[in-house]
Amino acid sequence: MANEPLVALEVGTTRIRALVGELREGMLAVIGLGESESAGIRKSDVVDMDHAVTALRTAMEAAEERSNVTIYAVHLAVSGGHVRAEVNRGTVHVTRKDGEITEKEIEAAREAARSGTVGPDEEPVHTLHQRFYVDGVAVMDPLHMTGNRLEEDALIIRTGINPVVNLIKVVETSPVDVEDVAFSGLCAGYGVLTPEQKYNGALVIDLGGGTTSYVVYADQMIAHAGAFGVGGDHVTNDIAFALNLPQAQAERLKRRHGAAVVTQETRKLTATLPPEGGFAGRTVRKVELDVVINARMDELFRLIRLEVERQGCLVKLGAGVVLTGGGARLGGVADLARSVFGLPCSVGEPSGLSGVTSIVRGPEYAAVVGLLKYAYQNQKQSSGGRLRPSDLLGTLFGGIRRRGGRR
Amino acid sequence: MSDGQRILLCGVGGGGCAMLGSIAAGWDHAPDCAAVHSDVAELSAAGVERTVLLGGTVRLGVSAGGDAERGQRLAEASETELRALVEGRDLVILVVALGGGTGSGAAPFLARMARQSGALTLCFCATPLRFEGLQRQANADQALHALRAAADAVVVFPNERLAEWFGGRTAVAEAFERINQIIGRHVRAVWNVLRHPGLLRTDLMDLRRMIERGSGVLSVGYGEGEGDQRAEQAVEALVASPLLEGGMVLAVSGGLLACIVGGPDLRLDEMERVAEALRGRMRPDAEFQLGAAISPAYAGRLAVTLLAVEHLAPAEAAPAPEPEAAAPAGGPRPLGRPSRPRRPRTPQQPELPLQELQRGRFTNVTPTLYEGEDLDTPTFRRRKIDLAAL
Repeated sequence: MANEPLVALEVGTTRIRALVGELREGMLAVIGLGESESAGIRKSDVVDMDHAVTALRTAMEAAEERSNVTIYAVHLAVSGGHVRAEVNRGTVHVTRKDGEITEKEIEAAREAARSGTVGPDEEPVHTLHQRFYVDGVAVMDPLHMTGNRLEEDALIIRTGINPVVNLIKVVETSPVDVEDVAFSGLCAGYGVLTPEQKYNGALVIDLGGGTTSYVVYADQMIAHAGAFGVGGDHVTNDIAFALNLPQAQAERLKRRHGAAVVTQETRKLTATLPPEGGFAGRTVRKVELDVVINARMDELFRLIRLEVERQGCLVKLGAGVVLTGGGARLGGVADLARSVFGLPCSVGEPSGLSGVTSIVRGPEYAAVVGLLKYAYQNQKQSSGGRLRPSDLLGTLFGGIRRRGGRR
Repeated sequence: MSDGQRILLCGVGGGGCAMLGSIAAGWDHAPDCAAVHSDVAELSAAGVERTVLLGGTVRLGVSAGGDAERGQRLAEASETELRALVEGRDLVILVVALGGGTGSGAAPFLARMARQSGALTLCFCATPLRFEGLQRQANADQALHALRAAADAVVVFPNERLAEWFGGRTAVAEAFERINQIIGRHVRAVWNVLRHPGLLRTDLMDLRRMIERGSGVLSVGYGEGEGDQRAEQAVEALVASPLLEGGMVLAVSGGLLACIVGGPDLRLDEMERVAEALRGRMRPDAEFQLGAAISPAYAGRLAVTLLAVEHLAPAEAAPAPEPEAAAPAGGPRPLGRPSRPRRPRTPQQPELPLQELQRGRFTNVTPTLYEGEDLDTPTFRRRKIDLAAL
């Protein structure tokens, strides 16, 4: 597989991003990015197919132009409040006479871990290996070991079927094939975490417009992940109600003047929106704006904290919390997270790529960069590696393969 | 009937009678008061002369035992007496605690009767505290639904919110008494708006017109001030009143009626300051009426009462008043009674009015629910943050 480009596509509620990369001198290099305002998407779900397709085409055409390639297939990031993650243990009894554990047993254990926890409207997207046990004892690599029983703990990340199918339809209508699907929270982690952070334990929170996704690294593995159907749109909506503003103006106000923490200084300040179109302009007290934002972000962080605590992971986050996504640009958001989680907190920057990296600077690019890296890893390993870092989707999405270009 | 008799303040059911007792206590110029209940003992505890013991020939004199249907049947059995109570009135204010049997069952029946006889019918209702249990809450919800269709407007006092106002460590009896006092203050405040002859007269007609164009829910706020800054103080206190959701109600209401009551020392600039302060918190397109009245009892003080409706239907031409066939001959009619359009009002949503919320940009999107809470509702609202008080 020579220099075929890899394309990572993120179809969010606020923005659509298509990132094109290729292999150069043994490294993954960014060659172009296409972005557009999203449309027809609410809380990461498709609510208007036509608008979404139109917006997607804008981003894809821009990506093709900037990178000078034709895009036939993409890797797609998905998220939404329907994403669930659970650790499942698959058990297999070694039936060979000599009791040796071969690749067959390892496959079977993985399959057993994958199935079982998934509901009727759900599909597993990732099966993330955590640990192997041979006769109850944790081992790194059971291949060729002897034992009676092989078990694998895996974190299964699953999504609702309908939202993902609809999103795939939008992409295929544009028309482009979907090679693979990945959870954007996981991608955000891949995009910004260093190996040290992964080793020491970290919580990555991707603050999107429609959804907030997160992934937890603890005990040197991916310990937990999830998503809430709450995002930047909720902050805007809260502001619109609190200050009696139209949605678009509330968004403007949030971006220009909003902050997630309130200080003594805040009480003395006002924030002014100049007139625009049919809007006469308005001056508000900054303390009202920031208190509304603070309430929403505080609640969101606390919900995530609760989930992480329930999994027993909060105490294992040596590297603290990393914030990504457009929402990480909100003033004071790292301070707020610091106080809610009681841990060090920083805003993540994408890393680990070469090429035109200047175009993907900023926390909002974490997921799409991570997705590109992830796609690249898959490609490297798909030729024979037995421990795939993720699953290609099961039978439902199994028809998704390279079908050859068609434009 | 004399001026005072055209207005009736009526406590219905056990809670209502107790509230009435609090409201009427020491009130010098109270309107006509009456208590309506099925339990003899609680009825006399209201401390008013005029009472109706529900039950007709089935007069057991005991409570309806938490059964609203039974409460309604008891009321129906006393139809004649109840009709005599509300007939010929211009304004009937019912006070009731929802969740039990008599109040929840009889109040809608009585409200409908009062409205049909031509009176502007307002219902001040208290809803149960959370610990009182799901059954009472369900009863209260149902009764509220019925009342919104039966009365012209309801003013809801969620006891749970009021209790939060003074904290969980209050002794139970004291908490209920304080809640009753808060409700009492609001009822008296509304009465003040209507009763005091004044400089700028807002009267029953103005209130009636606003309510008829509203959606059946009325919010009431009340605040008082003393000293140099009493105008500003009164408005601050008003905005902080428990039913105004920290000023939220002012910011979203389409129709507002405010009345300033002061002593002989009330100044013109103070009235202007009150009006300014209120206007600054309202929607630019809200319809706002301001009344003022002087009362010797208010020397040194300034009080502001606010009545607000959220959604105001566009004004239609008022129907021409028909001669009232049953009008008492020769009697003065200072409060006016044109024939009223009999517009049956079906509430659009059965939820408690204070929980109704447009979903903003999440209209037609599946709600995000977490452990029973709708996360799409603004957090600052669910946390009851008072923005104006910041």
